[in-house]
Amino acid sequence: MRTMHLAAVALILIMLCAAAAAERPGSVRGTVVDENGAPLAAAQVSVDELDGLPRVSPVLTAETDKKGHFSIANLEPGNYKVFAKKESMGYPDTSFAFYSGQVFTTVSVTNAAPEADTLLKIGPPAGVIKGRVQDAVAGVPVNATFVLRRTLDPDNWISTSQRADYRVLIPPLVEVSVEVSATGYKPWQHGSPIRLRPQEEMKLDIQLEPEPKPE
Amino acid sequence: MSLRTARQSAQLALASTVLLATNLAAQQPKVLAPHKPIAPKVAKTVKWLTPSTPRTMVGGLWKIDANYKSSIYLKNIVETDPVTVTPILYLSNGNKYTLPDVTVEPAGVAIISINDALQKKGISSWGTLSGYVEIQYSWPWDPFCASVRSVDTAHSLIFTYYLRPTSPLPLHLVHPVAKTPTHLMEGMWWKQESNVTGFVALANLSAQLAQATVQVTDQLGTPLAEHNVTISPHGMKTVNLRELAALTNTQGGVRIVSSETTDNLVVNGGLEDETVGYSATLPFSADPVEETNPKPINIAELGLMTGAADPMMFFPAGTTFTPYSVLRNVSSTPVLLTPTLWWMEGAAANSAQLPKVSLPPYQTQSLDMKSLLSRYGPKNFNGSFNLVFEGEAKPGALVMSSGSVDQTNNYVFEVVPRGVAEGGGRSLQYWSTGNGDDTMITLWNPADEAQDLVFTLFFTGGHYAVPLHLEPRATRGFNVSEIVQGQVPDAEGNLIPVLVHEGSAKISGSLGENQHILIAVGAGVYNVRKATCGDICNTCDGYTEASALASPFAVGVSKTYSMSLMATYNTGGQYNLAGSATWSSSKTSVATVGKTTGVATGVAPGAATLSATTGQEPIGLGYYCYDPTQGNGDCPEEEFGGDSGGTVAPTISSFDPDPIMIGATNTTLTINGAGFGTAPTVSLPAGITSTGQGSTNTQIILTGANVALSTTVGSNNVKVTADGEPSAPSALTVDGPYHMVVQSDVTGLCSGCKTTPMRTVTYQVQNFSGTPANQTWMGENISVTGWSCTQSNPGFKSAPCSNNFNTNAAGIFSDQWSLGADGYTPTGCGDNVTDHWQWCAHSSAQTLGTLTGYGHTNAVSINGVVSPNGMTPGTVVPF
Repeated sequence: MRTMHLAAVALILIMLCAAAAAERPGSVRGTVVDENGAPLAAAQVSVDELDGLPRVSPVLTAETDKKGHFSIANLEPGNYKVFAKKESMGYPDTSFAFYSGQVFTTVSVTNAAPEADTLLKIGPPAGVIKGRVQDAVAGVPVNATFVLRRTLDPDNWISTSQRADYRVLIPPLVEVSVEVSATGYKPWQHGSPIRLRPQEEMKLDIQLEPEPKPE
Repeated sequence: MSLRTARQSAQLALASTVLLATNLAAQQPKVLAPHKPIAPKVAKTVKWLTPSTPRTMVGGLWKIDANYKSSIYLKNIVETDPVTVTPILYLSNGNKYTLPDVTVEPAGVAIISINDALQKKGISSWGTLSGYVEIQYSWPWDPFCASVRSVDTAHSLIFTYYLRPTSPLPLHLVHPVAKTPTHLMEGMWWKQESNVTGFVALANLSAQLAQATVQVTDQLGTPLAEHNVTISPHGMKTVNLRELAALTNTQGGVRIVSSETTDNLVVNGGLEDETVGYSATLPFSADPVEETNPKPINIAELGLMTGAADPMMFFPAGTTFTPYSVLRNVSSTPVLLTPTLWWMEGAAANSAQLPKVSLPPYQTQSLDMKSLLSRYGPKNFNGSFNLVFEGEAKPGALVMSSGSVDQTNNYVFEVVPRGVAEGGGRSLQYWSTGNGDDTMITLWNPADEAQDLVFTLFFTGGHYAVPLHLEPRATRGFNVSEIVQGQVPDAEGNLIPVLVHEGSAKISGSLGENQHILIAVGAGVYNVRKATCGDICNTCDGYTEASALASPFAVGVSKTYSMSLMATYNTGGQYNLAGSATWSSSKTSVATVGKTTGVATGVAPGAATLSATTGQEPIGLGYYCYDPTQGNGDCPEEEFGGDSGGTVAPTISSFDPDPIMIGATNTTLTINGAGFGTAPTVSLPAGITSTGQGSTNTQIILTGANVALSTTVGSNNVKVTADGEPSAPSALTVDGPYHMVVQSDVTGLCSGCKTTPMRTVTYQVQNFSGTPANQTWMGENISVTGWSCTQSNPGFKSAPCSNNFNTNAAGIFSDQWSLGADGYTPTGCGDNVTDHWQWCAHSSAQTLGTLTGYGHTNAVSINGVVSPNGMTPGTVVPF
């Protein structure tokens, strides 16, 4: 009976994916390599069209294979920013200027040349701060938002919501201020900017003071 | 036979059966106190098990004149709810006066002055008028103890008459006694002294003329006088028995023969001598004699007083009392009774058996209590004692009266003889300690075991409970004023405020009002100044309605269901008698039921009736003081029960697979359960079909099953019908993409932007089962409104279903909200967004998550979370 169940699941996946129709002609393909030029498998590659339009839309992504190859199809002609990330290995999402430092790759997809090829070199990997955010009084874990800001370019910031047991990537060799907030607590700020080397990990447990309750 | 001759005969009979006075407890069979299980009270009451219906009580005799004042006393026996009643006065000429409604508070008492009520109707309250009373209310049972009290304080006369219900209780009695209509009613008269006369008032409840003959007989039943009367519809005729004054006989009978059945008559009588202030009720049998074999009876006359008055009762100095006890056998069978005296000496109960009393058919006897006490009772005894009669008689065969009278015949303490039998608690209609009143309570424990009781006084705004321990055979007498004046908090800390002077009361077992107890209760309100004493109506507390629940019941094959036999006490409390009832099934091939547990088990699909019958349980009656000698004695106990029809249905216990995946085709769906029989039909939810079916009694296999993409993801009901009985719906889970769960929420400048934030939220699309919905075709149904930037609206980018966007292999996708470029002004401008993320493959593009918010030049808001804050990972996006 279980065999039949799995067969049914496989069948539905086919049904769901088979719904695609009217493919667009363009695609971006290429290879992702790390800072040493080695292919990076299981990296997430995304493209973002440089059309200047407001967007409320999904990020088009693909995952690299063992050789670091990827392909994102079904694209309209246009100019695209191409990003790669593998956060588990410390390669952050460079679609954010905070991590890219405004350095990123662009490609063009045209009707004449619908298949754009590119080599994406990423790295070096970021440093990592991780630890636990908790209530300073009750000691209970607290989900929180981290706001990171490049101290030499304070307008370049990023915020990320994290569970109490958090893990946040810090661009390597960049001085960053860290502020943590959560509803019902006083904002917390690390006393001095943090600067980490590639793959350096910093353990940082954070105690949030509850806001006084209104009378 | 002359009075003298009759009395001599009685004395000879007594002398021939002389027994020595002694403590007889050791010689008698041991009388056990009840030890029956006590049904648990249920917390959630059903109001009520039977619907409220218009009901009435009727009776009473009221009379008003320059001296007489009459009042209706209403006690609401229900302790949980107020009850509204409409009192109606009928005048002797048949005229009807409906009085304003009265709402009687829970366990409360309402007193309605008939004099005042008539005056408000423009009728002089000084006129000589009489009549009877009806009360109307809507309730499932009769919630009142109602009486009419007429008092002539100028002549120290008092008469109290009770109202009787006109409808039976809504209880399904196992052995109902069908009452045969009768046109005959028997009563009894006696003369406390030579000037006593009497009267009989006959009210005709019917809408036609009634003829009646009132016949006065001597103690042997020989007619002495006869009065023929015609009573107008709804009218009342009072027959004065003036001939009594001239008779040398001292006791005899009163026989009424009427054209109407006694159901349509209200008969009340009295004996009086207003020159000395003597008054007593002339008793009648409430029901005809049951023509059955004689049954054991046990009747107690409590608190008879002899000798010098109790100084605590504040009678005038020198007041002494003499008890009386008069009996009439109104059956055609001789009755032989054994009277026993019971009295207390210190804390010890003592008894003395008296000579047997032989009552030939229709004969009346007045016991010479003075002589009997002198010969068999305690010597030099001043106080109260109980007189208990044991023997056998047909139900309804005895008319009895007893009491105590002082040497001037002015103070008359009537004692209503009451049967002694196991029963529930007793409610007392009224107590008073105001205007010179006091209320005397007498309790006798007829058992050879101690009993623990609770005496509860109800009054406006509260109650007060007095625990009572009664040693074997012990009598306890007390005045309510002692309790009120004591001002000692009860176990709950309650006190009776000193300004409270009246209320109602009840006696019950210490373990609950539905505890079976064996107790005799006597009570009266007396007033030394007015020289009046009125008996207080005892209500037999007990069950008034019952129902087997659930009705209809429904249980699956091989499943069990605990039945309840709910029963409501007349006080409003509800109890589950399932554990003390006997259960049976009308069709054990369909459903069985535990005989003593009430647990029903489904056997096979079909219909069956489960029945419960209680053991002997107390029945709630609000008028029992009216007739002490019916049935086995005091408050009746009956077997009653309830039926619950219901069905046994096939049972679905599981499905395989469960869940079943949406979109599955040509698969097999197995339904496991019980009671499927040989040809079950399966009702599948919309979207699920099959092409073949095989089954056993416990399994149905559907082959060629398809789960269309239109099927609702989530819980879907499946039913199996076997032998005409549908199973309870059973939930089959259809799995498929169901909702979106936040994985991360990041906001920052987009690469290539200098000021414009970009918010990227990553979601996992999960199936109903919680597994990732891999490679799921998703699309947006989006609306963007409120563009507020100076620049023209450039449009926006989204991904409708036609974009053929899929989640990744882990069911994950990221959604990006941004204005996409710098340069829009002024700061804070942008647009508002409503974004329905949909599963495109579902026939109706099912929405898995809805995002609302805005994208501005300086912030992005999604579902109320404004950047730089983000939605916490794990947040489930609402549909």
